Amino acid sequence: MDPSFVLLVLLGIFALIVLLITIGEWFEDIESDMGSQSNPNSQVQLAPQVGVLHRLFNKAISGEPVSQGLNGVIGATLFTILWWGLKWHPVLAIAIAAAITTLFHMSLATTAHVGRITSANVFGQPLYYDVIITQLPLIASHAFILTSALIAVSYLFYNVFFATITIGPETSITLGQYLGYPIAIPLLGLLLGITAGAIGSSTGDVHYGAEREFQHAPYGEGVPMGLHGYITVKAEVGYRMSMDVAYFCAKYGGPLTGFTYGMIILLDNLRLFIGNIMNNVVVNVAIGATILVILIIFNRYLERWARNKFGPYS
Amino acid sequence: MSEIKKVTIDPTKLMIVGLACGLVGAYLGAIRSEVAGLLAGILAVPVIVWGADTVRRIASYGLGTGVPSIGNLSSSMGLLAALVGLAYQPVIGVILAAVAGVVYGAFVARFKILEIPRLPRYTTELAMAASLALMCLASCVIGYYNPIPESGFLAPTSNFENIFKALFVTGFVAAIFWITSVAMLHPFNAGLGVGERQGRTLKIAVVTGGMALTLAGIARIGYLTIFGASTQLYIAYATLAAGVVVWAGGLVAFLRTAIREAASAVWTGIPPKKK
Amino acid sequence: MIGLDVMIIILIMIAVGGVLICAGVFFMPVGGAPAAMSTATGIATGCEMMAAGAGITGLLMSAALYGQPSYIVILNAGISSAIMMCITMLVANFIVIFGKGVPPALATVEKDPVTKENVKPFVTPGTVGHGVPTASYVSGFIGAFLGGIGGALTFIPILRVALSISQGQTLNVNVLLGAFTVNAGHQHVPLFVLAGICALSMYFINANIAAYSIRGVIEGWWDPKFKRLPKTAITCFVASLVFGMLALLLLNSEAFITVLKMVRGG
Repeated sequence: MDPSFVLLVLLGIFALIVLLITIGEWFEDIESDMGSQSNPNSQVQLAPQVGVLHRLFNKAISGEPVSQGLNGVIGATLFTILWWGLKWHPVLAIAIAAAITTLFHMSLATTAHVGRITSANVFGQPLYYDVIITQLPLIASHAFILTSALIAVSYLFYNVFFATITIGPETSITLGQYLGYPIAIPLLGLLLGITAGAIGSSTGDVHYGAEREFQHAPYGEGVPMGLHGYITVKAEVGYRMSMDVAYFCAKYGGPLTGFTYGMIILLDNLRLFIGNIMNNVVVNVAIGATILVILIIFNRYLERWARNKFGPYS
Repeated sequence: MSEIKKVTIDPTKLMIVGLACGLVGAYLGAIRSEVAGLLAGILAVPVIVWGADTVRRIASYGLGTGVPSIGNLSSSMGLLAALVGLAYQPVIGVILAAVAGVVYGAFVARFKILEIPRLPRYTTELAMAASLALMCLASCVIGYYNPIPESGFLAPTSNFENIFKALFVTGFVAAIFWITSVAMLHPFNAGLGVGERQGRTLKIAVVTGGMALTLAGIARIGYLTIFGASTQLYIAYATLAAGVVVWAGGLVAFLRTAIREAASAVWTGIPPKKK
Repeated sequence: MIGLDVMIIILIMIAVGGVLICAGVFFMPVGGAPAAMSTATGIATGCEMMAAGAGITGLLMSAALYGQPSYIVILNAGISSAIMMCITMLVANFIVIFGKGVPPALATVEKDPVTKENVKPFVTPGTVGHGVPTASYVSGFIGAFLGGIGGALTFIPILRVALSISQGQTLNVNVLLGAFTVNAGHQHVPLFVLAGICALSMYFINANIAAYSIRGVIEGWWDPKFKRLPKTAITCFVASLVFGMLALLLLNSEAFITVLKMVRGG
């Protein structure tokens, strides 16, 4: 087999990893918005205290990193058992493992919502069953996509590391020298899940928390402290449910969140990849430093552009 | 939320029960039977309830960075101590966890990083609860952990071989580590609010404890199937079943209490107008 | 058994790693929940989780470069964490600017400490800044870089000790810090798992102390809360020493060494 063909296959696997991570992270953000998890949750929690009763899902399963880490690690554990222990086909094992994981996630979501709403009983916040029943399958389905993406990527990283391709009678190429990590799948799932949550809550949440949650406040300014808790509870028609948030955030916050994680996996592994192909660690470091400088300059440009366009607060 | 509210169960009693259950669970393997693993897993549930109560006490002071950090802190402190405990002798692990917790709490309180009264006690309890829960769940995953050596004081090395195979070769240690963390932090985080009540919070702890036990049962099945020793598989299924029973039972009990105590529980409707 | 000199070096590495993780958290512009409402400057996550998220990228990089000399692993881990943090902050700015229509601004200072621009007029009254301005961006870059280095400093010694015992090599400073020739196979995976999970634990232990110290919100190195760094760093140093000793106890135990020798057998 031609060595350049091996390289091509490797690039294909790499592209698949980036694609899976991007889609998974995109849905991670929508999943967290669907239940007002993480940062925007503070406003949903505060709303009954200032007299704003709502019909939103209060999914306070800790911050996103913890809960997505749990999704990743449970899914990866189940996958390891099905794939390694019971010798199932990986694709089937990924689907079944992610499906069982959603049971854990739904259970946590239900206890969180019911517990938080019940603890707001002194403010007269009612507990609506239909809010739970409508939103739970949506939360589960979005979590399913994220979990299967995390498991699939863990599987690819782990297996590529140990894969060897025979290219001649005497020679063979170990793919692990280019791509992949020698870490067991459950731990890899945990690590990728925590990172997914950290990215999702620091980027995508801003779109929900700053814009969608305070849509009755003027566009183009930060939310003043005095407005905290007075969230938008009315939808286009009737009262707003958490699924009304999802389609809004799926337009901008979700894709950008997916883009972030995809970029991180892409750039970080790309510099490892190129450095390994050239068999020189200096290339590695040089590419990394270049990327960082470009990012800092780009952020500076973006900041100046925004300040010039928007002008000072008036 | 600066003051601790009235409690239905005294924290000290809960601590004694948790400590006793955890130590019994860690030492039960001396009977050299697979049943010990199942019982150790079940005994991890009271330990998790104790840990959740400690998280409730420490986090009700307001940390400035959310409840989950406390849960991660406890399982991180507990993990290293639990591994040392499993390598030497469980009681050494618990004592080391306590020492590490005291040092951690004392320094954090000394430099006024967190101004919480009796902080060293809380961090000690957190580390001990997490290390005990991790040891119980680990012995549940490997079948049973036999701490009694033929001579000397240290536990037999064959135990650690099993732990190494069951937890590190497969990577299941990550699952045990993270579920312990979530099981301890989730109850108070989910019950947070002005109307929070200890009884209700601890019912969620039973739910998360059941989830931890279920995951340990799943890992036990995985360990047996991966290493082809499927002779004792029925005990593994019993562990899984016990976990699901605790999980479902806790969920039903919690939902009943919550529906009774909520301001109003209705199928649908629009929020009432404020007076 | 591990020699005394090697043990001391491992302890120092772990303790310095803890201090660096702590310092990294202090440099990170963390806004917590208010940042998600554009009410505060910084990234909208708890510091602990942001530090862990950035550090994990560095940990994965150090796992991939396991055989290289230590200083290269450490440098690369720092760069990986910084890349993760910089992309995240850039996209957070994108969403603040195009999703909510707010220019990034600082509130605690009149002038941006890096660009020397006047930033006060851009702050909405009733808020304490929004987005990630250049100074916070640079601060976050430094923080993630330090955090990544700290994570790698806890990851390397544990992995190297376990690897060298399982390979039957005598453990000396050169093995710990220099290049390490081994082809990681399936039998070495558990050692990576052990080192990874220990490094993750150390991350949480140290990042939490720093997170409690800054009470969840900090803008960068000019923030008044930054003055708390020395005391917090001492606490992190002590805590890392304690937990580093626990890790050494584990690595030194007879049970563990027996198991590692099994790894050599396959």
